[in-house]
Amino acid sequence: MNDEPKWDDALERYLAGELDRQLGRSVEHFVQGEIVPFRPIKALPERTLLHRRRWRTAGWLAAAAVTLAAGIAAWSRQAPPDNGLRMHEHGSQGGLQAGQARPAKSTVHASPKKRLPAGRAAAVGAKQPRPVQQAQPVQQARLVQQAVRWRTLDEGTVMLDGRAVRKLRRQRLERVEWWDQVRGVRIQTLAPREEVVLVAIPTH
Amino acid sequence: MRSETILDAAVEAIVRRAQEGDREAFAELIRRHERIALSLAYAVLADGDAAGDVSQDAFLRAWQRLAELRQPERFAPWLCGIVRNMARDALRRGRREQIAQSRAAQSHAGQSHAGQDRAGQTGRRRPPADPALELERQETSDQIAAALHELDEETRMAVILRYYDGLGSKQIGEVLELSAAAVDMRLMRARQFLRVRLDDGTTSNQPGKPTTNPEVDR
Repeated sequence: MNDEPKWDDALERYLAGELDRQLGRSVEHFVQGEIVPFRPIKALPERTLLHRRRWRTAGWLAAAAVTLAAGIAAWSRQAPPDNGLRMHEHGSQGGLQAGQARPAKSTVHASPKKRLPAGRAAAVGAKQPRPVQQAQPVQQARLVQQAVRWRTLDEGTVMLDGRAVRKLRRQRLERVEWWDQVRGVRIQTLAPREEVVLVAIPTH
Repeated sequence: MRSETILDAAVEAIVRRAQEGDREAFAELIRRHERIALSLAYAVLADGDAAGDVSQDAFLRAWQRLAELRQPERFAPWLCGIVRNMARDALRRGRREQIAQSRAAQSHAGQSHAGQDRAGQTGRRRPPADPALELERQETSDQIAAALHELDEETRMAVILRYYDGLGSKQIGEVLELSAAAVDMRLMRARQFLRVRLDDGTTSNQPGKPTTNPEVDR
């Protein structure tokens, strides 16, 4: 309880330090800035207001539907295949030309171990497995949380080369967490750190 | 002298003049409500400069939309809604990450991911007489910043409105659309939390204890 006024004062000083320098900016910007178009009051008929309200609601519903559809499309695209690899088809990038069909018994598949030329899809027959290429990591691990805890211990005054210095020991523990969306793995690191800071004491 | 409520008849008159196009009247409204706007924006964004930017933009938007305000006496809650929405939009646009990244690049050890612009603060002050005291002040600021951001947004707003703007519970309730009793409860819990949290992070050095007295330390 005795500490409450102390922290009240500290909080007030902290907030003043953060925000006082912003005071006056808004007025100055408004007064000296470009003239912003001002719409004078116009009494709108109730019918117009109702009409606007309906269109606004319809607009929100349409936006919600589009967002939902986009979310479903993105989710289905991100769902990994059973073997965890992505299949790439480059038919339009140098694979088959239009109208040029490969026979089902492609030489590519005559020997299952034969490697395909890079970037080219193989024609498939009913019995031939479609070759796959390893997926490029489309998304890297994403930083999700970082937390730091620290403390500083005052270890008093020590003499260093004939000078009085204040010895402060700073201990820090940093925890960082990443989420690897490709592998579905959460990675966490803990990094402790300690340093000793010597602060010169001014003498008079 | 502040009135007990922000739904003020005097403000209503100024708003009506502003609605007729009086720019001086709107400038007066800005002066009266700037601290509230900064408090709310800061509660969301955790950065003074970003809060200043958002406040500035919010007042311009309020000027543009002043004609839509059908109840001039409710100017303050209406403005607060604009500030909160714009601050949240700014937050969603990733401004907070950018701020945190730029601070992390400038900071020393002991700064959290919701920390403050100590480099900016220090740069605006005169050189400290005692580096140990300055270090202690910076660490206290970091502790306060981290503790504030462990509060939920609404409680944080209430705390900042009380401690920065000096608003009463009724006024805070009008801004946040809560009852005065609910505001009091939130403030009481926030104080308890902050006290425990800040006491937890204090150093072994007692604030105010002389630290640079070679005669005593010998």
